[in-house]
Amino acid sequence: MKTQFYPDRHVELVERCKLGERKAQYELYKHYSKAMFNICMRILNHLGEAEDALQEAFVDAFTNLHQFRQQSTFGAWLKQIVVNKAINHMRSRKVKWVEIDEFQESLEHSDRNEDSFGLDESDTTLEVERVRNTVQKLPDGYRVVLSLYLFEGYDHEEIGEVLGISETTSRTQYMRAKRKLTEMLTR
Amino acid sequence: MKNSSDKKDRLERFVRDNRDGLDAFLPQDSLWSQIESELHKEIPIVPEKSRKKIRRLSSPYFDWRIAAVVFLALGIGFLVYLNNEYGITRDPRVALKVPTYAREFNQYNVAIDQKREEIIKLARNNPELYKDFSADLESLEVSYRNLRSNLSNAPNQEALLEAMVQNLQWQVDLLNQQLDILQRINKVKNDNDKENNSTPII
Repeated sequence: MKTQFYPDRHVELVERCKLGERKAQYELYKHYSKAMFNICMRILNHLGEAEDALQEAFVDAFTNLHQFRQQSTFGAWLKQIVVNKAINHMRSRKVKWVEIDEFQESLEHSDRNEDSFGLDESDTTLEVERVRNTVQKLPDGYRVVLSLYLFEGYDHEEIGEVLGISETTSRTQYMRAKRKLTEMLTR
Repeated sequence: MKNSSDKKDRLERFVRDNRDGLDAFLPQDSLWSQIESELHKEIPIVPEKSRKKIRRLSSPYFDWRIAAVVFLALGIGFLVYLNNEYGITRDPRVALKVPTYAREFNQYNVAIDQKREEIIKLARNNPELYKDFSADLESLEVSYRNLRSNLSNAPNQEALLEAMVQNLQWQVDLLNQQLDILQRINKVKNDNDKENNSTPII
């Protein structure tokens, strides 16, 4: 029963926000800030910048809320803004995409243990921490593509669009990023 | 979004199953107050009225260049209208000297030109007659030109202008009579032609 009312509650919250109600804005912020902040963190890998991006995204979302027409969920709409803000921050930093050949050797080398990185299912909490830390250690370009695909559920076409790269580049970057990640996890 | 038939490998499954654990970071509590102050700041700075004003002046539908072109077109149109009404380029000396009479003179001149053209058309197959007509008109035109050249140093300008108007009136009358004659001649000719054409049938 409770979950049934959930989306309705948000529609109502959004409507109240459109009228400029502070309390409703805070409710939405409280609900989404953690997930959105982690998106920023995965893309930017920097606490201060992630907070800046998150702040800009929320300010933007609330001031342009009249443009949100309930065609998607508020969460999906907000996520789009957050991802764009984070990527703009990233751009101003000038990401250097990892050259295709750069990790060639380690790729061939890690092909063997493709699907057998040392995830011990019995001790997931520790493993979760380890995966998270390792993702943050990836080079910028790899990490952005990997988090958009793996964590935010973007497909390669969308990633290409959002980052201004080709779909193929996104695909190969993702493959390489994943291999790099598994390689680092097995080390 | 992602194709559901995509082969999910262990890493993807792991991420999906441990989503909450992977979202480990929390923004600072102070962030909301910053956002709130931004939102407060933004609304009074751009009140609805001034925003509308700015938008109207810089809107894509308003362009100073287009406004200038429209203004120029209207101006040129007005000048053309003035010229047609007062005949400034047709007879600049009269139009500039006595602007109050310019309109009247111009109307006469337009009428005279029209009638002349008509006469030329009707008298095309009668060059002898046309020569006589234009000789008659020529004498009137000569006296008109004389009057006009005296315009600047005439002692009694009113009388001179009246004489000019009178002259133009005569020109119009003469042309009307000439037209009348031509139309009558043409009618007679047409009737003759018709009779000639119809006799063989009867």
